[in-house]
Amino acid sequence: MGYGPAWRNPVLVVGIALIVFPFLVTNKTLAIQILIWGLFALSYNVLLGSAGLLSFGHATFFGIGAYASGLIMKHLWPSLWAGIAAAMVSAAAVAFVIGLLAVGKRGVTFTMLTVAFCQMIFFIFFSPLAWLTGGDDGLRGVPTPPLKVPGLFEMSIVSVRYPYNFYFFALVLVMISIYMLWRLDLSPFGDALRAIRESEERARALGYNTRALQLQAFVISGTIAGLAGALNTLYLAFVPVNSLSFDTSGIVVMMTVLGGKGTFVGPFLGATVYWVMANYLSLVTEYWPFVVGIVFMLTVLFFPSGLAGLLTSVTRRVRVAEPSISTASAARVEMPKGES
Amino acid sequence: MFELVLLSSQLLVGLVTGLILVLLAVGLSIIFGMLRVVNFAHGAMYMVGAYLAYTIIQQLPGGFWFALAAVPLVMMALGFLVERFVISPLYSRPPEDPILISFGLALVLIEMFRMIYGKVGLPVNIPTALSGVLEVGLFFFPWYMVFVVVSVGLILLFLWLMLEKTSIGLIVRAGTRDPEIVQALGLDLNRVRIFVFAMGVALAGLAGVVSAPIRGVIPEMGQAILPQSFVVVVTGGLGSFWGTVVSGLLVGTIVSLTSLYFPRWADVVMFMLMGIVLLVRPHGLFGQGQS
Repeated sequence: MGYGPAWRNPVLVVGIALIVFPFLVTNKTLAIQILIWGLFALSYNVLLGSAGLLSFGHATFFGIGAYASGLIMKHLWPSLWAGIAAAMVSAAAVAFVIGLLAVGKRGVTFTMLTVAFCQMIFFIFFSPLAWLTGGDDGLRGVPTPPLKVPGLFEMSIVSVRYPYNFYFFALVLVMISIYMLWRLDLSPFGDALRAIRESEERARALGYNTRALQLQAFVISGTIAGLAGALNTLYLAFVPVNSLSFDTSGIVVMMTVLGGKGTFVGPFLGATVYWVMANYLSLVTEYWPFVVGIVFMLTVLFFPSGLAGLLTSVTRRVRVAEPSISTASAARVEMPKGES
Repeated sequence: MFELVLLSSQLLVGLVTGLILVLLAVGLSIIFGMLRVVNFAHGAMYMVGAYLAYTIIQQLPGGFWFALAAVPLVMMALGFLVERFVISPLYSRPPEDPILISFGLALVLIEMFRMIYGKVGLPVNIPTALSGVLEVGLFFFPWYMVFVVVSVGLILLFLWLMLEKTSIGLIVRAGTRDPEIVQALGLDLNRVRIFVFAMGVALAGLAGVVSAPIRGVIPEMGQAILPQSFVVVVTGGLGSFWGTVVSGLLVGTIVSLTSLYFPRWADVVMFMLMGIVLLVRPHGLFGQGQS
């Protein structure tokens, strides 16, 4: 199976951009934020972009991952890999349980349920579990264990002191995730998800178990969001309570749409737009979310395929003169991403 | 005996909480029944209604009564504008787009009110005519709470009669089953949609007016109550009027009793109720068929 020309390969494009990026900006914090939240948005994209499921509760899995890794590393086992594994396993488990109740319902019900469950988990962590989670103060004093590969090397990834170490450690995990999601997107599983998005009834008539497939997508998406949460804990050495909040769920939705849903570049572009606004606009006005909201509304109204879609249409217009043999294969690669 | 007095006043609080949620949930229900849109700006509309009431009460003696009549009309006009210029351009798009834009609108409205009124909450006075307490033997109930129960109860009854007995209601209910049927009957779907959206927004504004003297106003008030009204809608069963009323009252009562006995769980309990209901009845208490 051909994957199209190399410059169209999303793993390569995103990978090269993310390798170069931290050297281009002086603000290393910005680079790390974009990396982590880009991964978070990419995981959300599996729902909104591929499966066409509109969730407004994705912070749940990010937050569960963040807390699980923080709690494990603080109280049980100060190991990087233990923290990350705990984050992914617990996020997957929570996604499975919520998915059982929410997936397969009509669109509007699904959306409302994701919001409701997001609030439920937030308040459970906020109040009844405050003795464990630190409640409103967040989970403080999470250690940052060194990165150990037995027999090879050991290095510190404390983000404040060694931002490059942290960045490139996180980048390896992000790239593995992107690669796996990309292969999944091209697999029959990805095709089936898109078929369900276009028409659930038709997909069911074709013999797909639509609910099981969407549930799988929900769990995969939640697991990667959990990984992003774990990375955020390692980066901050702290878990803020709003990791789990409805507001955070809204932010990841906005990032994905701003950047371009249904693409691999989009979520990272969206994370860039959001964090640039959050870091620099906030210096100018404390009402910067107003501008974010306006930009988001204009994007939905006039550029529904986001920044990535905008860039694609610009490059296409530039190249329209040269007749190319690869049109067919390019179309083959583009089509599944569904610029709907 | 003291225990019973406390319990009775807490039950009244629960009833009021529940009725305010029902006002919001009914508006949400008719909107997505007809427009197929989860209106994420519904909480923000509730907030706008409450701030309008705050402003009127500040400026006018006895302004509460004026606000009660005027705010729903203003909100209705706002609803018309929003449907016309923000929501309706997206009907031909994938179903998530109008929902996304309503979320963006909520964000923008909240920040606007932060800019105008500041980020801190503001208290709203209870109208003087209703500031006393109704005493029944040892029991006592604030007049304002009693007023809310009676007036919102009447409004809901009126709304139900309108939906069940009038031709407008017939159209709305037909549209809730299948919006295309409205078109097939030769009616202008766009006009029905704009009317339904405006009505839902007016109800949200009314809920804001009624709750302002109890809870005061703060820009985030809508974001907190929005998920709660989702819970009421889903628990009651999509598209069932009485299901929404019953589940709203159930949620209000359970929350207020929990905050009396297990305060730490007060914010969690309604979601547990929803989870249990969905396990036993996947379509909600009164829901039928496709949920």
